[in-house]
Amino acid sequence: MVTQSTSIRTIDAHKSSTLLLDAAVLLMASGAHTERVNRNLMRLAAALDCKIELFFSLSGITLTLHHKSLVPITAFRKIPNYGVQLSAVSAISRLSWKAVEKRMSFDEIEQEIRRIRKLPHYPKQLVIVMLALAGMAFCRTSGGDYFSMLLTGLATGAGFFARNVLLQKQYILPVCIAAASFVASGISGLGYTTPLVQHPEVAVATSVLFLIPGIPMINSVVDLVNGHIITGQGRAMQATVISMAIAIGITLSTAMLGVVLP
Amino acid sequence: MSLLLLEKTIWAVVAALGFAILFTVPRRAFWAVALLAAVGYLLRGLALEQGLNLIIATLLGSCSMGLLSIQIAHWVHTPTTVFMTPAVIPMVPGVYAYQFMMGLLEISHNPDAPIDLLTLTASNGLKAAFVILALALGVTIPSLLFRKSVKEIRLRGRRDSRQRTPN
Repeated sequence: MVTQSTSIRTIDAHKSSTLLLDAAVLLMASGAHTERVNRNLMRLAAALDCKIELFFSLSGITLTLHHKSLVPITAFRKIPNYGVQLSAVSAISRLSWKAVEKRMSFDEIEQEIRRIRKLPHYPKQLVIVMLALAGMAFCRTSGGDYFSMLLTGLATGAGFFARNVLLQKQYILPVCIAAASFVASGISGLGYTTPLVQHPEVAVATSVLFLIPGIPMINSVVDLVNGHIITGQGRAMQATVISMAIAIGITLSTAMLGVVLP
Repeated sequence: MSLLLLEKTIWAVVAALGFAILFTVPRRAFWAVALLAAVGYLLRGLALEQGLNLIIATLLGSCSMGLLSIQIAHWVHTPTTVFMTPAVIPMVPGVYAYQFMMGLLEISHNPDAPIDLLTLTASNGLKAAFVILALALGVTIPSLLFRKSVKEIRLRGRRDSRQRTPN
């Protein structure tokens, strides 16, 4: 009798650890900084009536779960790939509050996390149009004229399209970024050929801005400030690698334009 | 305040909204992204017009955004990072980063590069790095100042009292 109830509780604890790791990996991959993941997980664990300790690295999360009188369980989960989706971050944060306040059951929380994982992105066409507009905006705020803006919008749209196509074919991220940066800076570099575009260098500089790893950069500083040194350094390196990829794309396109153009 | 600054502020809002869509910010938080981007960019522009340097001006803009975001988080029921991250993106120093990189390439081509090029490149790179640091500081301000939210403290109190009185 005693052993049976213990084994049921052990299964419960294992299920809880799986659920918590699901939430943690989803948060990390969607672009939350480490302290946020930590806090949300503590809240969820309180809702599931257990205590947890977490260790974060950029490639995976280790979780140790203490459940009442049971032997602690330690589990590890890899983070497959990073893709920014702030709606998931926001949804899990709301879920963690609701779970504690309304005492949601295990099944309810599990169902909610399954729903959050399927949250849709905005339609691709809308993203391309808005990013092209954002590129034009960057060009204007950096002191470009209206013709440079037009060129930058075009280049940004084409670059983003190239990035999407390559990502869909499952090339690794730096390759996709380098190719996208090559396309974008190649198109905006055409501004050097015509006197119509007064600030071609601004057009080139701002047409690749949509690739800048803003979230890893900011999260890296946030993590370092909060004492998550390993993930902070990891994110800084991630941002550096992506910036290098952007640089490679620009260098190649400048070299090519230098050869093709007189 | 010049008309150009106002126009640039509108463009900054457009850029922030573009990135909000790329990052899939929930629709209810869009107005927060737009408002914060406008406030931050306008404050920075005004500070620059008064003759402050870029880094301090950016710090001023991003910190005001951070403080404002604490209140907005309660109105839109969304964590601050979700709408702060896209809102600071228009202030990312892309052109300085680009000039830093181009400067490095030029130095690598040219073994006897003029000293001006070296100092200019270093200045561009450091400016870009410090501006990003200032932006990140603004984004973290809510969690730096308020380690535990009011809601969390209230909740903890309730849980403690529940444990103390055995039902």
